[in-house]
Amino acid sequence: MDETSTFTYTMPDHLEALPGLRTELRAWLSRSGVDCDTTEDVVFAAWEVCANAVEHPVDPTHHDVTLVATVGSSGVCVVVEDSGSWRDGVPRAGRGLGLRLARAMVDRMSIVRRSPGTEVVLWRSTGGHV
Amino acid sequence: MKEAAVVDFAGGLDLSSVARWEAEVGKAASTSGTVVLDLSRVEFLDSAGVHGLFRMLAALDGQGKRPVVIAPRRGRARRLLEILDLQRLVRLCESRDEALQGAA
Repeated sequence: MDETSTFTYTMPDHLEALPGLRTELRAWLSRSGVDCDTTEDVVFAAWEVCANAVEHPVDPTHHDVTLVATVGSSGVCVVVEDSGSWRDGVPRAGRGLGLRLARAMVDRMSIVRRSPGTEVVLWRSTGGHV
Repeated sequence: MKEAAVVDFAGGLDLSSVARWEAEVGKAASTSGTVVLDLSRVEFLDSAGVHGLFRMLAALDGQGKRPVVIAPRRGRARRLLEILDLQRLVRLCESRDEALQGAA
Protein backbone atom coordinates (compact mmCIF):
# COMPACT_ATOMS: atom_id res chain seq x y z
CA MET A 1 0.00 0.00 0.00
CA ASP A 2 1.13 3.55 -0.78
CA GLU A 3 1.59 5.31 2.58
CA THR A 4 1.07 8.76 1.11
CA SER A 5 -2.19 7.88 -0.62
CA THR A 6 -4.84 10.53 0.20
CA PHE A 7 -8.47 11.14 -0.80
CA THR A 8 -10.15 14.53 -0.38
CA TYR A 9 -13.84 15.36 -0.79
CA THR A 10 -15.67 18.62 -0.16
CA MET A 11 -19.42 18.51 0.24
CA PRO A 12 -21.98 21.22 -0.27
CA ASP A 13 -24.41 21.68 2.61
CA HIS A 14 -27.27 19.55 1.35
CA LEU A 15 -28.10 15.90 1.81
CA GLU A 16 -28.73 15.15 -1.87
CA ALA A 17 -25.00 15.48 -2.57
CA LEU A 18 -23.96 12.91 0.03
CA PRO A 19 -24.51 9.60 -1.84
CA GLY A 20 -21.75 10.69 -4.26
CA LEU A 21 -19.33 10.61 -1.32
CA ARG A 22 -20.18 6.96 -0.68
CA THR A 23 -19.53 5.94 -4.27
CA GLU A 24 -16.23 7.83 -4.56
CA LEU A 25 -14.83 6.87 -1.16
CA ARG A 26 -15.72 3.20 -1.71
CA ALA A 27 -13.99 3.17 -5.13
CA TRP A 28 -10.90 4.93 -3.76
CA LEU A 29 -10.54 2.58 -0.75
CA SER A 30 -10.84 -0.45 -3.06
CA ARG A 31 -8.23 0.97 -5.42
CA SER A 32 -5.95 1.58 -2.42
CA GLY A 33 -6.06 -2.12 -1.58
CA VAL A 34 -8.41 -1.98 1.43
CA ASP A 35 -10.47 -5.18 1.77
CA CYS A 36 -14.20 -5.19 1.11
CA ASP A 37 -15.49 -5.52 4.72
CA THR A 38 -13.19 -2.77 6.01
CA THR A 39 -14.17 -0.54 3.07
CA GLU A 40 -17.88 -0.94 3.81
CA ASP A 41 -17.40 -0.21 7.53
CA VAL A 42 -15.29 2.90 6.85
CA VAL A 43 -17.73 4.17 4.19
CA PHE A 44 -20.58 3.67 6.67
CA ALA A 45 -18.81 5.54 9.49
CA ALA A 46 -17.74 8.39 7.17
CA TRP A 47 -21.29 8.65 5.78
CA GLU A 48 -22.83 8.93 9.25
CA VAL A 49 -20.36 11.58 10.40
CA CYS A 50 -20.83 13.63 7.21
CA ALA A 51 -24.64 13.28 7.25
CA ASN A 52 -24.55 14.45 10.85
CA ALA A 53 -22.31 17.42 10.04
CA VAL A 54 -24.48 18.46 7.09
CA GLU A 55 -27.74 17.98 9.01
CA HIS A 56 -26.95 19.40 12.42
CA PRO A 57 -24.59 22.38 12.36
CA VAL A 58 -25.33 25.17 14.82
CA ASP A 59 -24.67 28.65 13.42
CA PRO A 60 -22.19 27.54 10.80
CA THR A 61 -20.06 30.37 9.48
CA HIS A 62 -19.90 28.92 6.01
CA HIS A 63 -21.23 25.41 6.34
CA ASP A 64 -18.57 23.48 4.40
CA VAL A 65 -17.83 19.84 5.19
CA THR A 66 -14.50 18.39 4.08
CA LEU A 67 -13.37 14.79 4.30
CA VAL A 68 -9.76 13.64 4.02
CA ALA A 69 -9.01 9.91 3.98
CA THR A 70 -5.53 8.40 4.21
CA VAL A 71 -4.50 4.78 3.83
CA GLY A 72 -1.34 3.89 5.75
CA SER A 73 0.49 0.64 6.32
CA SER A 74 -1.66 -0.38 9.31
CA GLY A 75 -5.02 1.29 8.79
CA VAL A 76 -7.36 3.85 7.30
CA CYS A 77 -7.72 7.34 8.79
CA VAL A 78 -10.67 9.59 7.92
CA VAL A 79 -10.87 13.20 9.10
CA VAL A 80 -14.15 15.10 8.67
CA GLU A 81 -14.06 18.83 9.29
CA ASP A 82 -17.09 21.09 9.31
CA SER A 83 -17.48 24.76 10.05
CA GLY A 84 -20.42 24.50 12.49
CA SER A 85 -20.41 23.38 16.10
CA TRP A 86 -22.69 20.56 17.29
CA ARG A 87 -25.64 20.68 19.63
CA ASP A 88 -24.53 19.48 23.02
CA GLY A 89 -27.00 17.61 25.15
CA VAL A 90 -29.93 18.20 22.83
CA PRO A 91 -31.38 14.82 21.93
CA ARG A 92 -32.49 14.62 18.31
CA ALA A 93 -34.04 11.62 16.60
CA GLY A 94 -31.48 9.56 14.72
CA ARG A 95 -28.39 11.62 15.52
CA GLY A 96 -27.14 9.74 18.57
CA LEU A 97 -27.86 6.48 16.80
CA GLY A 98 -25.74 7.49 13.78
CA LEU A 99 -22.70 8.38 15.88
CA ARG A 100 -23.10 5.24 18.01
CA LEU A 101 -23.15 3.05 14.90
CA ALA A 102 -20.23 4.93 13.32
CA ARG A 103 -18.20 4.35 16.49
CA ALA A 104 -18.99 0.64 16.36
CA MET A 105 -17.54 0.35 12.83
CA VAL A 106 -14.08 1.77 13.60
CA ASP A 107 -11.32 1.21 16.14
CA ARG A 108 -11.09 4.85 17.22
CA MET A 109 -13.40 7.82 16.88
CA SER A 110 -12.72 11.19 18.42
CA ILE A 111 -14.56 14.50 18.17
CA VAL A 112 -12.72 17.77 18.66
CA ARG A 113 -14.77 20.94 18.94
CA ARG A 114 -13.20 24.13 17.64
CA SER A 115 -14.72 27.58 17.52
CA PRO A 116 -16.22 27.59 15.07
CA GLY A 117 -16.22 24.09 13.70
CA THR A 118 -15.87 20.44 14.58
CA GLU A 119 -13.32 17.83 13.57
CA VAL A 120 -14.07 14.12 13.74
CA VAL A 121 -11.25 11.60 13.36
CA LEU A 122 -11.99 7.97 12.53
CA TRP A 123 -9.33 5.28 12.50
CA ARG A 124 -9.82 1.71 11.42
CA SER A 125 -7.13 -0.96 11.41
CA THR A 126 -6.75 -2.90 8.17
CA GLY A 127 -5.60 -5.94 10.15
CA GLY A 128 -9.08 -7.46 10.57
CA HIS A 129 -12.51 -6.96 12.13
CA VAL A 130 -13.13 -4.65 15.08
CA MET B 1 -56.82 -10.85 3.44
CA LYS B 2 -53.54 -12.57 2.48
CA GLU B 3 -51.58 -14.53 5.08
CA ALA B 4 -48.34 -12.61 4.50
CA ALA B 5 -47.15 -9.69 2.39
CA VAL B 6 -43.45 -9.36 1.51
CA VAL B 7 -41.70 -6.01 1.04
CA ASP B 8 -38.41 -6.44 -0.82
CA PHE B 9 -36.02 -3.67 0.27
CA ALA B 10 -33.74 -3.77 -2.77
CA GLY B 11 -31.11 -0.99 -2.97
CA GLY B 12 -30.57 1.60 -0.26
CA LEU B 13 -32.49 2.03 2.98
CA ASP B 14 -31.11 5.40 3.97
CA LEU B 15 -31.88 9.07 4.54
CA SER B 16 -32.89 9.50 0.90
CA SER B 17 -35.24 6.50 0.56
CA VAL B 18 -36.65 5.74 4.02
CA ALA B 19 -39.94 7.63 3.51
CA ARG B 20 -40.68 5.65 0.33
CA TRP B 21 -40.08 2.34 2.14
CA GLU B 22 -42.30 3.35 5.04
CA ALA B 23 -45.12 3.97 2.55
CA GLU B 24 -44.54 0.53 0.97
CA VAL B 25 -44.75 -1.17 4.35
CA GLY B 26 -47.93 0.77 5.15
CA LYS B 27 -49.49 -0.53 1.91
CA ALA B 28 -48.42 -4.12 2.67
CA ALA B 29 -49.94 -3.87 6.16
CA SER B 30 -53.33 -2.98 4.69
CA THR B 31 -53.46 -6.30 2.82
CA SER B 32 -52.06 -8.84 5.30
CA GLY B 33 -51.83 -9.86 8.92
CA THR B 34 -48.13 -10.72 8.62
CA VAL B 35 -45.68 -8.35 6.98
CA VAL B 36 -42.28 -9.71 5.94
CA LEU B 37 -39.56 -7.05 5.69
CA ASP B 38 -36.96 -8.64 3.40
CA LEU B 39 -33.60 -6.88 3.92
CA SER B 40 -31.51 -9.47 1.99
CA ARG B 41 -30.99 -7.13 -0.95
CA VAL B 42 -30.28 -3.95 1.03
CA GLU B 43 -27.04 -2.52 -0.35
CA PHE B 44 -26.70 0.31 2.12
CA LEU B 45 -28.40 0.82 5.49
CA ASP B 46 -27.68 3.91 7.59
CA SER B 47 -28.91 5.23 10.93
CA ALA B 48 -31.85 7.04 9.29
CA GLY B 49 -32.82 3.71 7.69
CA VAL B 50 -32.53 1.87 11.01
CA HIS B 51 -34.55 4.60 12.71
CA GLY B 52 -37.22 4.21 10.00
CA LEU B 53 -37.17 0.45 10.47
CA PHE B 54 -37.90 0.88 14.20
CA ARG B 55 -40.78 3.22 13.29
CA MET B 56 -42.16 0.65 10.80
CA LEU B 57 -41.99 -2.15 13.39
CA ALA B 58 -43.73 0.03 15.98
CA ALA B 59 -46.46 1.00 13.50
CA LEU B 60 -47.07 -2.65 12.54
CA ASP B 61 -47.24 -3.60 16.20
CA GLY B 62 -49.71 -0.78 16.83
CA GLN B 63 -51.97 -2.10 14.06
CA GLY B 64 -51.91 -5.60 15.49
CA LYS B 65 -49.80 -6.91 12.57
CA ARG B 66 -47.03 -9.45 12.90
CA PRO B 67 -43.70 -8.26 11.47
CA VAL B 68 -40.95 -10.69 10.39
CA VAL B 69 -37.52 -9.45 9.27
CA ILE B 70 -35.27 -11.32 6.82
CA ALA B 71 -31.62 -10.34 7.37
CA PRO B 72 -29.15 -13.08 6.35
CA ARG B 73 -26.08 -13.52 8.56
CA ARG B 74 -23.56 -12.44 5.91
CA GLY B 75 -25.52 -9.34 4.87
CA ARG B 76 -24.73 -5.70 5.66
CA ALA B 77 -28.10 -5.13 7.29
CA ARG B 78 -27.57 -7.97 9.81
CA ARG B 79 -24.33 -6.42 11.10
CA LEU B 80 -26.11 -3.20 12.07
CA LEU B 81 -29.20 -4.92 13.44
CA GLU B 82 -27.07 -7.12 15.71
CA ILE B 83 -25.15 -4.12 17.04
CA LEU B 84 -28.57 -2.68 17.95
CA ASP B 85 -29.87 -5.96 19.40
CA LEU B 86 -32.91 -5.93 17.10
CA GLN B 87 -33.30 -9.69 17.47
CA ARG B 88 -34.72 -9.01 20.93
CA LEU B 89 -37.64 -7.11 19.37
CA VAL B 90 -38.40 -9.12 16.26
CA ARG B 91 -37.60 -12.49 14.73
CA LEU B 92 -34.65 -12.29 12.28
CA CYS B 93 -34.81 -14.92 9.53
CA GLU B 94 -32.23 -16.16 7.04
CA SER B 95 -34.57 -16.63 4.08
CA ARG B 96 -38.10 -16.16 2.76
CA ASP B 97 -38.76 -19.87 3.25
CA GLU B 98 -37.95 -19.55 6.93
CA ALA B 99 -39.98 -16.33 7.26
CA LEU B 100 -43.06 -17.71 5.53
CA GLN B 101 -42.88 -21.04 7.34
CA GLY B 102 -43.47 -19.21 10.59
CA ALA B 103 -46.31 -17.21 9.04
CA ALA B 104 -48.29 -20.21 7.79
